[in-house]
Amino acid sequence: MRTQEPLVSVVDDDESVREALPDLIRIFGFDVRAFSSATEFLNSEWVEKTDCLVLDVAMPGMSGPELQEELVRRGEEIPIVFITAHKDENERIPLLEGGAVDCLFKPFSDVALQDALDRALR
Amino acid sequence: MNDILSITSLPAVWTGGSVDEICATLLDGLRAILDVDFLVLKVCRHQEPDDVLMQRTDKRSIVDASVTFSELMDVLGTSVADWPREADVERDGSASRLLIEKLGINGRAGVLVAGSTAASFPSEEHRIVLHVAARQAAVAITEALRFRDDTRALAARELSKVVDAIPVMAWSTLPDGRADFFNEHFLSYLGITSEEAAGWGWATSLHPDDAGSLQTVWMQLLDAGAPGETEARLRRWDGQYRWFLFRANPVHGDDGSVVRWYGTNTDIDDRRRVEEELRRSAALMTQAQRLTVTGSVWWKPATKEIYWSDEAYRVAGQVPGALPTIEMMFERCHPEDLPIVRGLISNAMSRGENVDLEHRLVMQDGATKYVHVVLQNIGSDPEDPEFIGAVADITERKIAEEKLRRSDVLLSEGQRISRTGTFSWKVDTDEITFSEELNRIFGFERGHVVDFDRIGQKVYEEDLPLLATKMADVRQGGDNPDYEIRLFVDGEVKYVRVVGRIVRHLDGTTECIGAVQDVSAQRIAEAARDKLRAELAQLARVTSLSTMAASIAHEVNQPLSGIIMNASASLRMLSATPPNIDGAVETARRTIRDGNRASDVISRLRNLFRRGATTLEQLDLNEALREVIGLLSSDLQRGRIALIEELSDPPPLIVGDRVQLQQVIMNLLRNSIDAMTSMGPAQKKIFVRTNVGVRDVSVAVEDSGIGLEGADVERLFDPFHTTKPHGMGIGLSVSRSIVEAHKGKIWAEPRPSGGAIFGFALPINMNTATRLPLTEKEA
Repeated sequence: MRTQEPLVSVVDDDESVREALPDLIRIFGFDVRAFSSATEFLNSEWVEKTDCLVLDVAMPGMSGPELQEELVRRGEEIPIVFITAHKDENERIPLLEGGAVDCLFKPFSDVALQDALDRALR
Repeated sequence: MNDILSITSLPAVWTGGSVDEICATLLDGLRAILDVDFLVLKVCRHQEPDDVLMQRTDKRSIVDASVTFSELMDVLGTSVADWPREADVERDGSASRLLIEKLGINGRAGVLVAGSTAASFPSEEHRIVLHVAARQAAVAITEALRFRDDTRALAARELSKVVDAIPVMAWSTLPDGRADFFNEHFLSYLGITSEEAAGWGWATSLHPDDAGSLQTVWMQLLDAGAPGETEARLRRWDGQYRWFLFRANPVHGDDGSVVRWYGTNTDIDDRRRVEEELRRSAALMTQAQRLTVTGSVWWKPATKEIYWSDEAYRVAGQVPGALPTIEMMFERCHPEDLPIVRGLISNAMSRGENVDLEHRLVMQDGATKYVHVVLQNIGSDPEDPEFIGAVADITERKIAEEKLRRSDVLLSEGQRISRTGTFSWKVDTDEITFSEELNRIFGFERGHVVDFDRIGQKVYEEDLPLLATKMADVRQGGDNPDYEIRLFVDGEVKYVRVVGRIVRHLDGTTECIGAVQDVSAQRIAEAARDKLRAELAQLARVTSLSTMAASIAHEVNQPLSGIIMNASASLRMLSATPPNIDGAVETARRTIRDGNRASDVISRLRNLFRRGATTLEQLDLNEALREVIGLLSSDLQRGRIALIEELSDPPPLIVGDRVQLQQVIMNLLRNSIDAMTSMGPAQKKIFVRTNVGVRDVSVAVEDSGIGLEGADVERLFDPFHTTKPHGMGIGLSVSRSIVEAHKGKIWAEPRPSGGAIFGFALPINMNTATRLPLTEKEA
C-alpha cells in the first residue's frame, strides 16, 4: 500500500531543508525523495515516478526554473511547488504564470505546504 | 838829451794802460827818436803763448812781425835768453846790425830788437836810449801783465762765485766725457769732494735704474758731438734720490773738434712728481669714468665751448674727439624726452639754472639707454654761466629698479594670492613689521604700528599659551619650525600657519623673520572632506545593506524555515496516535541545530554592522573571507555563480580592522557578481585566492565577467567613478581608503582569459597602530 502513495520529490541545496521537509511531507501521508541538486534529480530513476516536485528556486548549477523548463522539454508534466528564501513577488509571478502550482516563501507554515501539495495532487 | 827825456816820460803815459798800449807807444816813441830800419818787440812770459808781438819798420818793408821774429830766431836761436846784446846779420842781401835788449831777467818778459844797415848804427846814444826804454818798458809791461793777471783772476773768482751761486748743478767734462769740474751746488748735493767726483766718480750717485740709460745717452752725445739732454735720479747726500734733467752742450775748437763739454743738472723732482700724480689721477679718473659709466662735461654757453671726456662721448653714443655742440646733446635724445631736455638746457643757457634729470637716449642700433645728466653752474656771474657736470649711463640701474619693482609687485601679489604674509620681529627691541598681506590677515589697518598687545587681541584665546611658548623659544634663540594657531578676526575664526627663522646680525642683535599663511580655507575644506568621506563610508555601508537585505533575509530564512518545518513535524509526531516520540525527539534536535545556525548568521551580521571605533586585532584573512562568502552565498546562488576558494595554508595572519577589511572583500566580490550578470551559466566563476608572501599577504578576486574593457584603471578607485549605470561608485574608493589606511595597496587588472582581477595586499608587520580614516566618530 505504501508504494501506492503519491511520491513527492524535494530538490534543495540546503541540507536542513532536505532533512526537515521529508519528515513533514511523510506525516502528510506522501512518499518522499530528497535531492541536493537539479542534476542529481534528473539523473535519478525517480523523475517519471514523481507526482509532485517541491523545488528550490536559487541553486548553484541548474536553478529551479531551469529544471522546470528541462522537464517541459522532456514532456514530463510534473506539478511543481516552488520554495524560495528570497521574498520577491517579481520572481514569484513569472513562476506561477509558467505553470507552477504555488511558490512558497521560506519560512512557510506546515499548513501552507500541505495545502499546496493537496492542490498539486488533487 | 831830449830823446832820453821823452823816453823817461813814457811811464807816465803808460800808467793804467794795457800791455798792447804800452808796447805800441814804446815802439812809436823809439821810432821817432831812432833812425833804424826796424823795431821788433815781443812780450812773452816763460813758456806761455806770446802776449804781444809787434814791429815798426821803414816804409819799404811789408814783412809781418812774426816773419821778422822767426827770421831772427833762425839766425840767433830759438832761446831768447841765449841771444847776444848785439849781432850782425844778413837781411835782404845787405848786412844789418842788431841791438838786442832783453826785457826782465834773461828776457823772461820779452825782447826788444832794433836793426839798421846804417854804418853809424849803433851809436852810443842808440844803445843808451834803447836800453833805458827797454828797462822802463820791462817794468811797465811786467806791471801791466801782473795787473792784467790779477784782473783775470778776480774775474775767474767772480765767475766761480756765480757758478756756485746759481741754483743749478753745473759741470764740465773733457772731450772724452771725464768730468773735471763741478760747481759747489753739485758737490754739496752729492755730499762728496771735487776729487771724489772727478772723472766718473760722480756716477756712483746715479740711481741704479737710471745709470744705464744715462750712460747710453751720454755716449751717443759724445759720439755725435751734439748737444742733448736726459733725465735721471741722483742720490742726495742724505740718501734720497731726486730726478734731474741733465743737459750737455759741447764747445768746439777752431778745427771743429770738441774741446770741452759744459752741462747743467736741473732738479725736476717736484715736476716729475706732479706729472706722475697728474698722470695717475688722470688714469684713475678715466678708469673711474669707465667703471661708473660716467662722463664729465664742461660747458660755457657764452662762448659755446663744450668739453666732453672720452667716457662722455661713449655714454652719449658719439665718436670720441668730435667737436661737441649743443645739437649733439639733443641728437640721441629720445623723441618723447626731447621737449623737456630742450627746455632745461634752454633755461640753463639763459638763466644759468642747474640741470639734474634722467632721460632716455636712442642709440644708433635702436637700443634705449637711460642717462642721468647733472649740470652745475660754477660761474660767478649769473649772466655768464659756466657749467661742470656729469652724464652717467644708468641703464643697468634702471633695469634693476624695474626688475626690483616688478619682483616687489610679484611678491606682494604672490603673498596676496597665497594668503601668506611675512613679518620681521627684532627680538632685542620688539620692533615688529608686518607685510601688507599680513596686516590684511590680522585685520590691521595699513601703517599702524604693530605690537604684541595688538597681536594678542587677535589670537584665539585658547591658543595664546601656544603663542607664548613659541615666542619664548624665539627669545631663547630657537627657530619656530612650523605651528598653527587660530585668530579671531572680524567675527571669524582663521587658521594660520606660522614659520619663523632666527637671523643673527653682525651687530649682535637677533631678528626673527617669518611667514604666516592663512590656511582657513584649507582647514575648512579638509573638515568638509573628512565629513564627506565619513558620510560616504556610511552611505556605502547603507547601500550595501539595502542590496544585502535580501540575502540576509535568505540567509536567516533558510534556518528559520528549517526550524519551522522541524517544529511542525515534531508537533504532528507528538499529536499522532500513538505519538512518534523518537521522530519528535529527532526533529526537535534538528530544530535546536537550525536555531543555532540562525543565531550564527545573526552574530555574523552583527559583526559586520557593529558600530564603534576601529579595532585593530590579529586576524586570519581566510576566516574573514569565509564569513563574507557565507553572507554572499545567496547572491552567488541567485546569480548561479560558482565560487572557487584557493586559500593559502598557512593562513594569512595580519593585524587590522576585521570589519573594514571584510567590507573591502565584500565590495570586490559584489563587483565580480555584478560583472557576470549577462554571462552564460557555464562562464560564471569567481576565484578567490589568498597568498602569504614574505612581507605581505594578498587577496585576489578573479572573475570571468565583462572585464575592464574601456575602463580607466587608474581612476577606478577614485570617488564617484563608476562603470555601472546605477552604481554609486563609492565602493572602490572607500576600499582604497581602507587598504591604504592599513598601509596596503589595492589594484585592478584585466584577466588574460577575459574578466578582471581585483586584489589588495597588506603588510604582515603592522607594528605601529595606524590611524584609520573611517573611525566612526559618532560612536
